[in-house]
Amino acid sequence: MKILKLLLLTLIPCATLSAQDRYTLSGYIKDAENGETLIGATVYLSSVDKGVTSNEYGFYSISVESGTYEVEFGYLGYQSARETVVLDQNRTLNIELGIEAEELTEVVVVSEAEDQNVREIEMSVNKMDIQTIKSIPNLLGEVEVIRSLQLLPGVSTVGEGASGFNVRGGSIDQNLILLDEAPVFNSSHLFGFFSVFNPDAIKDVKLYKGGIPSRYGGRLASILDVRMKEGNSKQFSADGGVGFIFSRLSIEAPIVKDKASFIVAGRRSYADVLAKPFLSGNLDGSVLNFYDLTLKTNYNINDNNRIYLSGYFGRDNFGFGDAAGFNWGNSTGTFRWNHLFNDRLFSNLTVYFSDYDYELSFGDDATNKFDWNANIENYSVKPEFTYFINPQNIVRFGGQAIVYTFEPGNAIGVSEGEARDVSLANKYAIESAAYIENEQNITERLKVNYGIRLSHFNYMGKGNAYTFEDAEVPGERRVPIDIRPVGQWESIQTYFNFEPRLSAKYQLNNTSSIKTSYNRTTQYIHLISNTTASTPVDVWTPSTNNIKPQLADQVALGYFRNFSDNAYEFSTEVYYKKMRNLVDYIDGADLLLNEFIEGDLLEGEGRAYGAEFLLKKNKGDFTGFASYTLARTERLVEGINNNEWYPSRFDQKHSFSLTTFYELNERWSFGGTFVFNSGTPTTFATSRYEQQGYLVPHNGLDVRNNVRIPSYHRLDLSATLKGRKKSEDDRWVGDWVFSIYNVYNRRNPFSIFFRQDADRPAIDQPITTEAIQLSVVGSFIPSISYNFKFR
Amino acid sequence: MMKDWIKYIVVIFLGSYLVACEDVIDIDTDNADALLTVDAWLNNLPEDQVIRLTRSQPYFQNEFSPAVVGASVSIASQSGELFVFEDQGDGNYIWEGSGDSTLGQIGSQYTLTIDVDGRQISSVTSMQPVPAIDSIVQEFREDELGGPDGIYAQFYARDIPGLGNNYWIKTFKNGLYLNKPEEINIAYDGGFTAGAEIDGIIFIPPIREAVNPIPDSAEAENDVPPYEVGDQIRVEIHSISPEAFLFLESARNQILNGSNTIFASPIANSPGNVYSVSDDQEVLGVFCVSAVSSLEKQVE
Repeated sequence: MKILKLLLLTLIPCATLSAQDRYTLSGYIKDAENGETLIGATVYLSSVDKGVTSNEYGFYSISVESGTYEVEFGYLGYQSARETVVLDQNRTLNIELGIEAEELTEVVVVSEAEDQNVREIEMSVNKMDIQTIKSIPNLLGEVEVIRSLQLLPGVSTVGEGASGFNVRGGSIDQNLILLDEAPVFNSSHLFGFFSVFNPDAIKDVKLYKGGIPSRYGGRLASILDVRMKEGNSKQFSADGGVGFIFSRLSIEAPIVKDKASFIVAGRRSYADVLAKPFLSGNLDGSVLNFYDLTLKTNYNINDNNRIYLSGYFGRDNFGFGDAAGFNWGNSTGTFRWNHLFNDRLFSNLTVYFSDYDYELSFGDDATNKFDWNANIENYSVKPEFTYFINPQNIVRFGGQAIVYTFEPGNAIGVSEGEARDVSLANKYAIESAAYIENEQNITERLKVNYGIRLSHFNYMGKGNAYTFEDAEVPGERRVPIDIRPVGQWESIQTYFNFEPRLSAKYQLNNTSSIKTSYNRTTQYIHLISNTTASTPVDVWTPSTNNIKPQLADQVALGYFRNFSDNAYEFSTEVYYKKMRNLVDYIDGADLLLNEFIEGDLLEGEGRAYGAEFLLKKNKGDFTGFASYTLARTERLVEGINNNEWYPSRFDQKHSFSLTTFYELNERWSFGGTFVFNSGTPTTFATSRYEQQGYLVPHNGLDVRNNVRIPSYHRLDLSATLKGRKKSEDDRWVGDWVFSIYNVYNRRNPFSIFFRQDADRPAIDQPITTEAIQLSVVGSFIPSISYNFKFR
Repeated sequence: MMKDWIKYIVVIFLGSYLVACEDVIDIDTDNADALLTVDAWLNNLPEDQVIRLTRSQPYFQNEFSPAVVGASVSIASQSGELFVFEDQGDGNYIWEGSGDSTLGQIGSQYTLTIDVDGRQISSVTSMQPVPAIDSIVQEFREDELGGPDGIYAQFYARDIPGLGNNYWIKTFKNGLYLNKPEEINIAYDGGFTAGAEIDGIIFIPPIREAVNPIPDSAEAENDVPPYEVGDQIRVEIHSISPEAFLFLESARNQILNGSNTIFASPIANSPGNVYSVSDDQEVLGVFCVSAVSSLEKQVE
């Protein structure tokens, strides 16, 4: 905190000195139709060539010398607004922007909003507005946030159906996924096919792959910042849809017009309903469904105070009659309070709760059963301040404290009426951080954002602290040699880290800039998973006296250029990332319900580097984006691969995607996506040998991930028929979406595995072995869905 | 087990929706040296005890493993007994057990010594205690998670008190050993793994019930039940060493890894306990001496 104060003191005097005959123009920028605040809208004072963008809450503030200004407000896809402001005192100006009318698209007013790609300091950041996500053709017609992100450069997945995503060589737990500031620990429904984000309730999605500002922390690879809609504050509206997988309904309405509103959005799958005919009689009692509920309300107390309350609750349920049940899900709750101390000091206080848990049960009677549940739960307070000192400096500072409770497994087994409690002790930890950063225009051309994040982790009792013997051979299980009971709140291990962040933009000319960034990130909690795709029963663990926090350093350099009046945006970046203390696993690791799990973990290094290219076309009837990534990601773990570097399981050399949208006329629009990814690496056995009639595979070279599975490519198409409004008062508009996933019916490999013939081996014959290519989607998948809006 | 459940769920879902599929393909694997393999799982039953010596071969070579002949193979007990295994000329080395002469006493330590091609191979193990099987019971079930109607069996036995007892439960249907990899039924104390400390308990239901044969694809299609009236069920519990348990746990997982679909584990070598004393070259395989308890039942 001392350093924070010091930094603040050095920055604030220069602000007060220059503020004498300066006045501040501030306010909120909103959508005229539904009152939603607009994130990243621009405010531009052309006479002095100065501008700012609205923050995550739609607030902007700019301080300039007194005078009369022509102020232009812009937001991509919206009509820009011009206001003349006499700035002889501090003024508040709330602006509402209307959606660009069809006929206006021909007469393009070049607003500043359109060259943000080049002007903004942000690099390695991808924004996807929900309209774009909704237009991308999707599996079974379901609008999908996470799968859409996988079309972006630097974002990949280990395979179709795997949950989560990999960013620039990071594993899936290295992404901090925030839903209205609360972390979501498992972003998937049904393993990885659908994400937990209901498109009807989402406003804005932003992914930081690098150049991560110091206000974000806690994960190594990326921050996915998902913001929910506030709810229509002008009028009642409902959105919904019926698809193959989900039915959705969301309702938004003002509570007090322009002051308070809410949104409630729910989805439920009917997998079980549809699957029923396919299940043979004895599986009749099966349950297979998933659902989620997203809600948010906000209240605009006055110009200086606004509060938000948002929550998410989702669950996947699987059951087989009385014999077994399995369910999992996230729940989050966020309270936020935006407070303006004055025209230039904006603050937000977030208090959240987030939980991920799962539950399994086997056995249908009390004398023979097994019940098991596990969870990760955390509470956090996060005060954040933004000080708009002057157009040259925006200082952000704040802090965060997170209290974690890990319940790695509560399990009771009953065999013939005798119960055994095999639960593991809870683990507790507090993660805290403080940060300060300044976004500064040094010259007309040079803009920098420099900052620092200090993070601290305290792994605490009540529990046991374990000490392990060194492994005789690296890569083998370590046995505990000491177990020390630790009292409640007593510290077992603390870590402190210093995370510098820096990014800079140099404007070459009106249409191009170069950007560079460096960031260090730290991660104190880890998802324990050694399977190809993560399973819902994987548990999170804190850093302990045996598990060090993961660290990453990343540098990136990029060139950004717009063409043809900002109709085309182009960017290319190269990055290099070095990772330390990555979690790996011994062969045959026992990761569930294992008290001594720390003895089964290994520590490794990682490196990832690559080049990314993104070309977007934003204007006209024909729009879209193309992305290409050339990348490599490798691991080094003592005891694995003869102690040499090897490619990680999700390493892909080439990834290319092309996503296009075409508006034929007012009613018909089309979308197409083509994806090509090089094959991920895997390990093949070299030899076979026999033990007691069983054929055991053996990797005689002791290598890891030395062969590539064939490459992946797929084409998806969709067509949307927009509903016709019969009259202006028509309150119901319905759209039909027709889509085909995997159009040319390719059986894309997920993996290649080995097996012995599945049938019973004959005693006097050699056992036969074969290689199998597994495809998760084995054919093309057509779908139809219907979406509606009701006003 | 856990993974089996997830697999089951995935298979049901993918099966009914996304038409996941498996194709047999041709691939080349890297060549590795052929390694000496020792298959030495012995027990205290009054019958011939066989140690088999072979060499590993390329994974896709669908032939019997080449036999290693001309070795001298013997086992010495802690108390000085020597068991000499006779070379049969086909890779098998046999010590003839009989009603009054069996190999092994509970708690005793045994050292295996093999001289082959100028190399000296060795391994040490000790025989662990085994619990008696209390009963085998049969039950008619209308359905069992997708399985057919029919007679299902279970055996009852209680884990020996104290942590770290390992067992391999073998089932014979009408005298034929259930030899599918999925049918490998091993227990750590009364449960699945070491991590969960379940001790002194009656074997948990999934272990008790793993004495039912897993049908071949044709049998599954025709709803062939596990047992029918008149079938003979024999269940044996073999006490095994912790090393043997780790080996079987890993081997079972590795042999069946493909069926975990998208949740497959990394490829790992199953850890044996046989070593070369004379050089650094790896030797594959396990040496284990088991005490056996057994029970038979005719299905009524």
